[in-house]
Amino acid sequence: MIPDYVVNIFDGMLLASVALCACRMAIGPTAADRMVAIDLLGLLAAVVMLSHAIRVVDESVLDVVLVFSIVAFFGTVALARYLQRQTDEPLD
Amino acid sequence: MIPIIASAFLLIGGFFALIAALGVFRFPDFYARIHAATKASTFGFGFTALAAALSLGTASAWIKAIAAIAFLFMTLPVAAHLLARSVRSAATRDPRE
Repeated sequence: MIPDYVVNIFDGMLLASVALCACRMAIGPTAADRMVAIDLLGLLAAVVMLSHAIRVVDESVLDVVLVFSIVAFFGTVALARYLQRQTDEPLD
Repeated sequence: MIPIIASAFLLIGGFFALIAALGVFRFPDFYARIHAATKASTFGFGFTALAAALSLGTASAWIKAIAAIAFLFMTLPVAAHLLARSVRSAATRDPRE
């Protein structure tokens, strides 16, 4: 329904976003910067799945998007927990 | 009419995703980065999911897209708050900072 070239432009934008995010994940000075970049990468993966759903006109991909966003949220919570415990330990 | 609106929503969503990634890459501070990553990307995902629902057009696609948007609008601020709080408590306790 959406023209093909619009989806191509959108995929180009997403490719640039993923590249910038991966650069921040690689060069991030602290572990927290890397965690923010990983959080955003998970959300960008869900957006890539939405682009695939639009391209192949298959709505079962939206189930994957829903479950993936839930898993990404729990991953971020676990990472934040890990960071807090890691910084607490040497000071106690 | 609907393809034009869906295309506009898709491009707006891609623009916001690009803004979020650019903010994460360019901002100088952790708190500024988390601000860019969790506000702009919420709108990017929301507009893209609305474009997907408009493009697919069925009722189940609308329900799934709106459920994903609602879940993300609830959980992304919570995740950002958890990250910022863990970094904040570590920074205030560390005597070297």
